[in-house]
Parts: sequence; C-alpha cells; structure tokens
Amino acid sequence: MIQQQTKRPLPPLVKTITVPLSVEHAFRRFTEEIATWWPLETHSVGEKNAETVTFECKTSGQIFETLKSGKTSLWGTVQEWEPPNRVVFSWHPGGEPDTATEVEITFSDRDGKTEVVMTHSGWETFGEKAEETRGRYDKGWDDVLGKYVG
Amino acid sequence: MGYDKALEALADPTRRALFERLGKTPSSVGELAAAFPISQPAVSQHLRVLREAELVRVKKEGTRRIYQVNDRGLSALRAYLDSFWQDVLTAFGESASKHSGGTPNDSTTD
Repeated sequence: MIQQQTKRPLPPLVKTITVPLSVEHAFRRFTEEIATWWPLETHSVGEKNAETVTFECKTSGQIFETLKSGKTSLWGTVQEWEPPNRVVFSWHPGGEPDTATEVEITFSDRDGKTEVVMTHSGWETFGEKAEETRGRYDKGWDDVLGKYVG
Repeated sequence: MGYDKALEALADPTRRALFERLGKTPSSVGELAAAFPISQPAVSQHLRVLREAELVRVKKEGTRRIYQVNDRGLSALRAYLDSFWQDVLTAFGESASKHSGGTPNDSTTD
C-alpha cells in the first residue's frame, strides 16, 4: 500500500462529545441549525464581519459563510450525507477546494444521549493527496538522475 | 478562518509538492529546481514561505544549504486544529445542553 511509503508524522485529529439530545436532534442541530451555535465571531473567515453560516443538507451541498457585505466564502462540500448518523464533508475554509482536507462527523445513541465523534483527516497526509503530482515530479527527477547515471 | 500559517503555506499545490519531497529527500534549492518544472528563484520563494511557517528548515553541509522538513511547524498546525475543533464542539455541546433544558421533550419535537 501507498500508506506504508508515506511519512505519517501526525495522525488524524479525533474529538468526541456527548450531548443530551436524541441522535436525530443532534444531527439536525449540527447541520441544518448550524447557524444557531457555530462560534462565528472567532471561527470564520470574516470573524467579526461574518453574518451567518449555511449547511446545505444534501450530498454535494455546500457549507458556506455569508459576510455582512453579502459576499460568501465556501468552507466545504458535503461528500456523504447519511442522516441521522453520519456526514462527511471536504474542508477548506480560506483556501481553494483542491486543497481540501476531510471532516467526518458521526452521531451514535448512548442511552438516549448522543455521542458525536469528529474526525479531521487529510491535513496530516498531504503526501497522499499530492501523490499524482508527485508521480509526475518523480518521473522528472528520474529523468534528470538518469542523465547523470547513464 | 484564522487558517493557520502552516495550512496556508501548504494550500499551494507546488509548495505542498516541494514540502512532500523534502519529507522524503532533504534537498538543496538547485536540486529542487532540477526536479520541478519551476525556476530556481521560484523555488526559493516557495521555500521562504515554508520556512516562515516553520515547516522546513535549513541545515548547512559544508557550503551547501540543505532544506529539510521541520516537525515543529507540523506540531503547531496540529495544536491549532486541536483547539479549533475543541472550541467548535464545546460551543455545540453548550448549545445542545441549553436547548435540551429548554425543551425537555426535544426528542419528539420536529
């Protein structure tokens, strides 16, 4: 596997929290009702100039921030939409889509409460994402070396 | 989003490729310029950004300057993301608790 060759200095980031809501309610609150709780003033592209955040609840739906000026800033795109247990989205606030990392959120019942697990991956293994690019570059490198060796 | 300096630096595909190569093979500017379809000044410029983000550092080998990955930058990036998501989940948890307290039958509301 490619993974064995790739330097993995840092593993994906995993965070867990349990909330006193049903799975359905927790899922809805995290996604559809995201604007009611997301700490926009400190965790957004516009910060104090951020007006709201929208989570489009469907596959390929966009997650974006709307600034007070009316401009929008895309944070990511829903890749897997499996209500009420799981959602996966690309994540690149302040960056371009082709630089996206990936966030997975799962919602599981724990005696009437809901355990929410967030896994942010991709940011620690840019090497895997750059594999194609590197393949091209590696070939170029071999060509160069080949001239000396040959 | 106060995206950390290191993430910003790695957001550029060329810089990311340079960084990746240095992870595998510490190299001089000249070696990088030979391996990538960009000029030596362009390589130097990218390396400067990576150095400022503490993602790479320079090691002197005689008269040569060899660039290599600096794990400190990656650790800082991780610490940044860790606190970012901790804040977000804490906000979510607080909001959920309040909401739950306000509507005891929340599991049946729709």
